[in-house]
Amino acid sequence: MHRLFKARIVQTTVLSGSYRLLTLSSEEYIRHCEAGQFFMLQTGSEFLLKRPFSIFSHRGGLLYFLYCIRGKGTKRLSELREGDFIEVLGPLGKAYPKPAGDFIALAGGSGIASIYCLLEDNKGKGHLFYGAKEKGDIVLADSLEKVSKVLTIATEDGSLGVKGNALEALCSKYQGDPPMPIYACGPKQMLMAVSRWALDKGLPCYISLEEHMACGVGACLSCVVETREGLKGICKDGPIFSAGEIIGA
Amino acid sequence: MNDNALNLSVEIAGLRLKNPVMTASGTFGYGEEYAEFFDLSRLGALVVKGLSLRPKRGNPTPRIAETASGMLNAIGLQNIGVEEFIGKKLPLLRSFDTVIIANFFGDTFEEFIDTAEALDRAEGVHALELNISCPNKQQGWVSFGSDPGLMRELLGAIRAVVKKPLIVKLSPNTADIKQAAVLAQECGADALSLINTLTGMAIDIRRRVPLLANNTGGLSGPAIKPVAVRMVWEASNVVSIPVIGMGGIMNSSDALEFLIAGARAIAVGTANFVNPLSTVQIIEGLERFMSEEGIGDIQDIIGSLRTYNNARSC
Ligand SMILES: Cc1cc2nc3c(=O)[nH]c(=O)nc-3n(C[C@H](O)[C@H](O)[C@H](O)COP(=O)(O)OP(=O)(O)OC[C@H]3O[C@@H](n4cnc5c(N)ncnc54)[C@H](O)[C@@H]3O)c2cc1C
Ligand SMILES: Cc1cc2nc3c(=O)[nH]c(=O)nc-3n(C[C@H](O)[C@H](O)[C@H](O)COP(=O)(O)O)c2cc1C
Ligand code: FES
Repeated sequence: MHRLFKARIVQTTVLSGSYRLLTLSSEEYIRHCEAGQFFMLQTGSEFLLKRPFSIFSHRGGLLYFLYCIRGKGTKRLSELREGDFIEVLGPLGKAYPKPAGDFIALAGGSGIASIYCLLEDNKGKGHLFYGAKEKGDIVLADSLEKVSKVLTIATEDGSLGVKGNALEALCSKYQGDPPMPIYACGPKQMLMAVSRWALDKGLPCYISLEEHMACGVGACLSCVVETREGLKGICKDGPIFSAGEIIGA
Repeated sequence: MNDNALNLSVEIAGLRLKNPVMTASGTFGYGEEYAEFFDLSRLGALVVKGLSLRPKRGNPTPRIAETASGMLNAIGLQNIGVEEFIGKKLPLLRSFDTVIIANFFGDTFEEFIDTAEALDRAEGVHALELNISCPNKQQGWVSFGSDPGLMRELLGAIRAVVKKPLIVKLSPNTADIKQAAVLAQECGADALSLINTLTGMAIDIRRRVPLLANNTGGLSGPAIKPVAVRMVWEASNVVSIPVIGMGGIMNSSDALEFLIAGARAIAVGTANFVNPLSTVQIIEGLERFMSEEGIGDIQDIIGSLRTYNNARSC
């Protein structure tokens, strides 16, 4: 069940140069939101369309979002203060299938948002590979350490953790077949590459896709992706898809 | 004034709408997407996403881009096709006490006719809305709404097979909306709806590429409202059939502008994306306005514009 409501900004936290954590007051009805689902957040009254953000955490009647300042809307969002109200629509979309046991989590950049949620909801079961450009873009390493079973950090310039990207770190660690399902969120290229890798090894793999969105509920048909069963809406049929469904994966 | 005494109902092409608020095609899916938010029976009418004979895949992504006070879209008329609509979507829509209008289009003359015939036969579809104005098509029908010869030919052929009320949706991408309005009326349209989106473009200055994969798209939202109000005013002055006004309606004040300008009903489009409850709030806003102004019947608002008579061209 999703709804539109005005949420109060409880806290805004600067995590790094471009990463922010936003804490919103939740509503009674959101008893059940799950990792992988997202909300459409109003970023400023001058913008017509809301922006989609994955749930980072849902705890104690609060909703948390982790975002990276990318363009006009996220810039505006970062200027809002505690006590301000923003309109939000959600929770939207399909969640990650619940992992039965240990799982591999792969996150690139802001993709850590939905992956954190998955790790937190399944504490101590996730083998996390988290990559970013450089040390400054790796956020909340301490919290991630706590919620994951094993944490591997990768930076492209080698300023923190292993040098290279997170997928390379994953592949070099598991030369054989890791007997675990894979959950991934991040840049499209990374998602397509990990999908092919997992399909090749016959492992279940779930990826979180992004596309420009207007309605968030499946009405405008702006957020489609090519699947083996034809076009699907990322907002409604996704954003989580099984790697095997996606053409190009 | 007692709210119960308010009369918001209007008649369009022989159909009684409980209020003048409709949804605009392509912005309300097939209805089901919004059924979770409110009781769709509250709508005056529900217009579904444009249908074609066979399913259509539409354009590559990105299909939308936000612009100042508006948005560009190039969905490319993706839809499930008439057959699946009738089989899978219409049953739910029939359960609501509202007027269901099927928007449709075709790539070829024959497809237009076949689609119209199929929808005319479909139980639960109360009226048809012909989209001759979609600016996203690349196959030549683009100029169709603005080519009087073609429009006359097509409209005549469709009129001959459609027994249900036929609404013709006009494009604003034309030099003279009055001409198009008169032509549609002459060809047997029972009502007009306007405006569709205005063709536009937006560019990523760093990458020097268009924001839409289709290069251009249709502009909608508050940015187009003044153009839409003007066109609705012009069209309703030259035809006797009802005009359904749309373009940038976000709230009841916007809706009232259109009604005063001469629209018998209004449709809400982009606003649904911003607030899924827009239509309901607009209905409530109209009721509030009427109570405040001591107006019992919405008819007293429709076309009540008093224009200045010293206006020349700008
Ligand atoms: C399901 C989903 C979950 C997401 N979760 C997160 C998250 O947890 N943290 C995070 O930092 N980012 C997330 N994103 C990406 C985020 O939505 C964009 O970074 C954001 O919309 C950019 O807005 P802007 O106004 O700052 O950028 P601008 O480039 O100024 O935006 C212009 C328009 O394009 C859209 N847009 C631009 N980039 C994207 C994109 N990558 N995806 C979707 N729409 C885009 C905007 O929404 C806006 O409508 C998610 C995207 C999706 C689809
Ligand atoms: C995403 C989107 C899809 C649309 N699809 C259709 C369509 O299939 N058929 C049609 O006649 N008009 C379509 N339209 C046009 C709208 O019905 C409406 O005429 C236009 O958007 C102006 O109204 P608005 O400013 O309130 O959105 C679409 C508009 C949008 C924004
Ligand atoms: S955002 Fe409208 S269909 Fe997905």
